[in-house]
Amino acid sequence: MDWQYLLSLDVQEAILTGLLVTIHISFYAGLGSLVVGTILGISQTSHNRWVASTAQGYVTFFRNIPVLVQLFFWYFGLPMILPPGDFPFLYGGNFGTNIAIWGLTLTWSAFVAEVVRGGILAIPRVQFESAFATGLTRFQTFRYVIIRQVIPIITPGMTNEMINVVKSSAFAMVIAVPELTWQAQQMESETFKGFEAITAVTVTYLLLSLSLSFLSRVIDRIARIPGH
Amino acid sequence: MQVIIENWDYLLVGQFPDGPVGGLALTLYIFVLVGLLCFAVGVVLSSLALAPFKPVRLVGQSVTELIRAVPSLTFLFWIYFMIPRLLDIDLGPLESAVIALALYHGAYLAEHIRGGFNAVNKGQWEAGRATGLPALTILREIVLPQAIRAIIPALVNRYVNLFIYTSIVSTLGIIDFLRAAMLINNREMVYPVEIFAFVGIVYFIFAYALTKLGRYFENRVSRHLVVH
Repeated sequence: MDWQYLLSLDVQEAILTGLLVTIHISFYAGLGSLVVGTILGISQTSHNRWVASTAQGYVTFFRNIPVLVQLFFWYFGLPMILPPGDFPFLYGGNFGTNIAIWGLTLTWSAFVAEVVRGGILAIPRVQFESAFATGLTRFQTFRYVIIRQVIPIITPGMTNEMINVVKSSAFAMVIAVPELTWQAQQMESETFKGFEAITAVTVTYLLLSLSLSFLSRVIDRIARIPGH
Repeated sequence: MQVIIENWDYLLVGQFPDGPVGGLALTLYIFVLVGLLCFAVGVVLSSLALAPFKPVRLVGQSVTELIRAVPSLTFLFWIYFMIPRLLDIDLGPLESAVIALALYHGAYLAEHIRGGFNAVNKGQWEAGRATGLPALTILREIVLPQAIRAIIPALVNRYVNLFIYTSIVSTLGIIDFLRAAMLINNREMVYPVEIFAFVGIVYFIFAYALTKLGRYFENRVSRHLVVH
């Protein structure tokens, strides 16, 4: 084993570049799934049957499809559906990275939606009924009564899903996005030091994951309602 | 659709009977094999994590935590590169992939099993001991049935996840269902939408059926337990 290899400047640069790409994808995909997932989760509890079942259908579908298949579908399929000649703006910047963000958002918003739905269903019915009885509208009930109680319930699940987003950003490797895991494979094909490279990358993920779970514990504590 | 029908056999069984089994058949084979192995891994790791002796417990919990902190794809490559280097044996990609998936999903299962046992009230053990039952009987007759009921929903989700993410073995060049589709796509070039939509739907159907089967099983077990 040649651990000295990891001290070379090239390797450190590759890992740093990979880490930045991983963080970039995770950040936007995490933000995207937070927004889309929250909307979907609330829609799932809607009284409108069509809204609720559409959201439910979306969630069921995307929870049961591998991210890898989705990434291939969009990466190879999008240029067929929307030709680059007619829609140049879709293909500007880094196409692979954008597809990764898009694909991960579609998948993880389904998981976030389940967390949000679970949180809303955990609120006792009387909370809704008494809010309506005091004359609050549906929106006001949500805004002033429900959200405050839902947030502490869903934060642990939510932070957990965000860590999952970071981990699944590794799948972007299959469409040649230069994130951490891709960098390790690249080093293997250039120098045959795959084991050293993947070990360094694994340790990087460990540090990233463990600091995120530390951060999530802090967030959970802040979100908790005093006395609960 | 034409492209799917033309390549039907290849998607289903790979080059069999003229070559090794591949395609959907291989995906199902990996799922069943890893499904059995990862359950064993989960039982062992959770037993360690629940052991009465603190150092053993610490080892069990740390191994579980560390494996779960890394993306599955990264863990797969790590095992794939590590085994030949550390143990000096030549394992094929398929063997490495099976080992990696079994350890990875086993770590998740261990966490679910541990959670299930911890969810059983301590008073159940104490009450069992107070009536003079031997420890093994308390475990088998009182604690285990309650723990199983708490574990099954997470277990079902884990197996669905395992099924759809057997697809990561395609990154090692193993011709599973996804890889077979990928190779057809590379050859045909112009049908990525049809090919990957079909692949996604097939994964969905299997995963959805597995979920339904799991729920049915869950209801049966719960009903059986309520009678007592």
